[in-house]
Amino acid sequence: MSTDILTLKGIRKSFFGTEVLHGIDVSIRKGTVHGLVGENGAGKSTLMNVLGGVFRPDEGEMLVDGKPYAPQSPKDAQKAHIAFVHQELNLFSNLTVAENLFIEDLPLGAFQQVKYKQMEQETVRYLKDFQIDVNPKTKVENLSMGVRQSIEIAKALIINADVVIFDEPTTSLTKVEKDQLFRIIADLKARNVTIIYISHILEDVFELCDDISVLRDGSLITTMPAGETNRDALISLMVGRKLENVYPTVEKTIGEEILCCKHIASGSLVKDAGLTLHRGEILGVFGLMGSGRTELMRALFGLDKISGGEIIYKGKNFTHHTPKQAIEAGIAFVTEDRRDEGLLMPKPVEENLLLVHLPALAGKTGVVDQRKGEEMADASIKALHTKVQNKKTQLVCNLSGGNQQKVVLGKWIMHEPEVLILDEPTRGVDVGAKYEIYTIIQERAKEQSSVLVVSSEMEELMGICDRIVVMSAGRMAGEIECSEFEQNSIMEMALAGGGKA
Amino acid sequence: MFLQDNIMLFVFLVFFICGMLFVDKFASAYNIKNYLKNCAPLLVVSTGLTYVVLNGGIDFSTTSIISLGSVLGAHLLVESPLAGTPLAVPLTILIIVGIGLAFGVVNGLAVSRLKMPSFVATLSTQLIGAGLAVWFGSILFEGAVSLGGLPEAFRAIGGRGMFWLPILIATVIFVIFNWMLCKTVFGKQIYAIGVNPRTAEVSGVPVKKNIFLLFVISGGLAGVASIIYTAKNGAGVPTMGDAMFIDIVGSVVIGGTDPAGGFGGVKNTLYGVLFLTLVSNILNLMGIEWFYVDLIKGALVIAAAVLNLIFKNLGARGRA
Amino acid sequence: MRKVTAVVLTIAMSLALAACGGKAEDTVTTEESGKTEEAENYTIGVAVDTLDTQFWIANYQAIKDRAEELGNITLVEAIASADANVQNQQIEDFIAQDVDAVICMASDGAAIAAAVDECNEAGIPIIMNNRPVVEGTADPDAQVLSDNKQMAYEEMKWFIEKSKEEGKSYKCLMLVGNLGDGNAVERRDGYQAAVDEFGEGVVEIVLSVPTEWDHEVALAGLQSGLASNPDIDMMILPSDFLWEPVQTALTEVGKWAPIGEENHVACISFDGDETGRQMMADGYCWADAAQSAALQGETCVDTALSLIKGESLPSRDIKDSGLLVTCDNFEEVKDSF
Repeated sequence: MSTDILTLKGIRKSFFGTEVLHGIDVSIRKGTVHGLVGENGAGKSTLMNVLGGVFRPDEGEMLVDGKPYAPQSPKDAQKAHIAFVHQELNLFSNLTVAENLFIEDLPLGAFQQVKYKQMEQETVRYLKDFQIDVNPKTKVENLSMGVRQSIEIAKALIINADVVIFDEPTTSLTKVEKDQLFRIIADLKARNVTIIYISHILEDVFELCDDISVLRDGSLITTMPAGETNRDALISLMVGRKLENVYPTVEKTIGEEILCCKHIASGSLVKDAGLTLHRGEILGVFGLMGSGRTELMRALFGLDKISGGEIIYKGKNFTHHTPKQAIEAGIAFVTEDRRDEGLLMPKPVEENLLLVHLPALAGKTGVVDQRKGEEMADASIKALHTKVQNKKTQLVCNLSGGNQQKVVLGKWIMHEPEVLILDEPTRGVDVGAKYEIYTIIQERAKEQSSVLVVSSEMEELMGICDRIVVMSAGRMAGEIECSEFEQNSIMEMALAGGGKA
Repeated sequence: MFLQDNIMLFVFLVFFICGMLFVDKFASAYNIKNYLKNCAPLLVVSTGLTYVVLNGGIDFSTTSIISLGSVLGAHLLVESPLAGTPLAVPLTILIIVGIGLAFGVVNGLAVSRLKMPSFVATLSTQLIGAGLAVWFGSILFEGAVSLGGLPEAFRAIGGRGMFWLPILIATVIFVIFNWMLCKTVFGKQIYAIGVNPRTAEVSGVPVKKNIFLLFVISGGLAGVASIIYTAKNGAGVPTMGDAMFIDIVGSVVIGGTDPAGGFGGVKNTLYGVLFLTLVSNILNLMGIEWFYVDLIKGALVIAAAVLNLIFKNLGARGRA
Repeated sequence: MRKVTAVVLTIAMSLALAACGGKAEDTVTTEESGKTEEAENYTIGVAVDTLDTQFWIANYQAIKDRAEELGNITLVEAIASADANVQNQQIEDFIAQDVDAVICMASDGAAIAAAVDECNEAGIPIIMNNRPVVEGTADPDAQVLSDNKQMAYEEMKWFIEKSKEEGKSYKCLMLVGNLGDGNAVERRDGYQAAVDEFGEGVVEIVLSVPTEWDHEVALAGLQSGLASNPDIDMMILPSDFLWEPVQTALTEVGKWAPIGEENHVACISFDGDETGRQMMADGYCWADAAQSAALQGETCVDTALSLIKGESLPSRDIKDSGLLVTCDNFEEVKDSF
């Protein structure tokens, strides 16, 4: 009989008068991996922030190991041996691994100087525990996402955590890194550490978790052992409806060639790439980390310089251009990193939505038609089902990941692009919103726009694309029509150039 | 929300009312006229600086533009072949504004094309400009350091005989540049660049061109301010602008524009200008011993800035 | 909650400000109640530029002393710290406070015209303290000035005659003050006039070095001047303020020596402050045209009072011809300046 390490009773939380957690009751058994699933906006992050001491609940109580737990700050959570590995990593990229690990509690000498040697030795020791072999003096900015995350985990564990909360840990990881993470989790479990695992990737949840809780719209719907449920049932509980197809289908025709690029070289990662895109076509671009997919898209859009090759767009040479010119020609680009390149985080939703379309809203005088802008913003919010209460006052940084992504999409679609380039469009987005985004993509294609989709989720590409091209080590490694889609052959092509697996 | 955005207006009004109630002679017509006349040129130059600060930058050269414009303007009006001709005043105005614009172009190119930090670029132009002002003064003013005797028509711009003229000029400039910031594509793009230039660039904003224009605006408006200051003081003084920088930057920052960029605006700067000028006025009227004046002014400035920060954090709280 | 704090803070600040105002008012009333015979109490605004030389410190103190002595005068002060724009604003604020007169030490002789005009229009007498308005730009009610030109002229004339007696001749470096200051211009003109009239074959001014009344600028100019003209053996200091850079520069070239010794460079100076007195006592200085800092300050106050009462002055410019202190008469007069 295992005791509960964590109990939450009747947790309520409101922001600016809106209640987002409606009395959550949940117990977590010690030494288990407890999955937490739900759509974005369901309240998972808020609940975890309450647990982690970032927010104080308006009502309700929490118990850790039977004792009352009411943290006033994240430090209190640490003292209670609760550790947090966040979705957006909290590492300082310009500091070294050792410095990051010990940042909260640097070992100091008699004169308050940092004891670097001691710090680095301990760092090596910790990382060895997780089979991470990294020089403690390396600056974090020079490490891959996977290694960074391992360090984030190590950082969390230095405080001898009894409970570790993982929030969407695998979104930026390669397969190898993911397997390593799962090994670490199994290892922690063996040491009787309790894990709370939040993720959208249901396969992973089933693989790892003993129990699963489902959150929907701020309420805890149910908690049950993983063995007593399945993927479909879980999705129904999360969304409240049964999803017939995960991927929408739509009738459309594919037209003539609109974009053709050959022998593109750009930067250090794109060596010799090319593809053709037709009107109404959804073309997927698959590749492993470092294959150059994102860099190719950036070069096509005009953000990165092209050092070789040519681009033909709508029959004319369009090789060297600025992003502004690309936009004016009807090309849109939803970047991989929405925080740094897609959104103005501390600004309201409306301002973000109108950013690309501004010049069109003004015409010759330069004066923006405020009313028309508002109407278009409202239309966008409605069409994409973006969960926003007040588009003028709600800041984009306060939205969930999925809704943020919808704002980015809305911003670009408002300008009615003919070519829509999407880089990881559903990263950090919940199931329900994913479906909506796929629908949007299909609709655009139906209206004779073309879509280039870069994604790490092969299944996703197979579900919505007409054709997939595979990149490997900066070159094209193959192409498959949708009728021949098959996971293994795609992966083979991606690996052919020696990319990471 | 209104309170939050316009906190400095509220503070200013409170002080203004206190001034009317408690400070002797504050409410006299003469004093109010002077107060507004003093606000006018400061508002003009600070409005220009606001554009630069909204981008997270700074423009040190505004003070040198004021000084250099003052020297060359006085020379043109009094000693040059132009002196006494009907074209003298309008031509001088154009030339002084032109000087400001020239500085702006240099600064703008340095920051947008050469990627110099604005701190470095405008500090360099400030030093060069200040040096030029003193040098021109020494060779143009026939042995004297400053030059007075400006024509009445010019001095009217500073309020001589028509106290409302500088106030009118400042008001018009305020209205135009506030409108431009709030209602035009250019203005809205400035906020975007100030918050995140990468996102702005990806979204098609012409970042380099816009940043260039910011400095041109700042320089040009500093030129206009130079005209008003010179007219008001009735003389070209090579060190005219030297001590003004604290007031210029102070009014922008206290008004509520975030020095890191992306938030604030010309309206905020108006509040800052009104408030700072009010503080000086009240302290002078109260006959506070001079060594307390700077102390008190500084303390109030800090207090106002802290208030601004408190309110800013109220809004940005609560991550998802 | 935060909003309430902010509002409370604001009101607290305002009250603090008001309280300070109350205190200033209080001091006015207690002074008033302290007076004895005069029925009228007058307020005089004193606009100061800087208090960084002994002359100005003495002058300012004299103003304060005289006001206290008279008993029925309240002073309101403002310091501009060399900012002409600020000084004009300060005088405007004096006018707003309804002062009865303004005593002004101008930061800039040209820019101050604007303030003088304002005083004229408001009907408030303005007295220029030691620094005149640039001729023709404005019309102050009175100017208390050192007769700089005359004093410099007399001083140089004495020196030339003395040199003739001793059969000496000199190559001279003349330091010049900030030319925005009318006093500096007058002194230079006075020295030059005397040299032109009497100096043939006795004193030759080889070099004019501008100083802008700044030690650093003066020192730099002196160093280069002495380097390019090593045969300089005389210096004119338009103010005792400049002794420091002169001493430094001359020491560097080994020419800092009192009268009679080898390498002595003859110096004549202006102002007659503590430093000047010391230099004369130690024998480095031949002559010092002493301004009466205290007398001028006092005169400003008295003139202000006369103007307030509506009396007319013999002339607008009141000139103090100072005292010519020389190495000959130093022992007699050394205590009187």
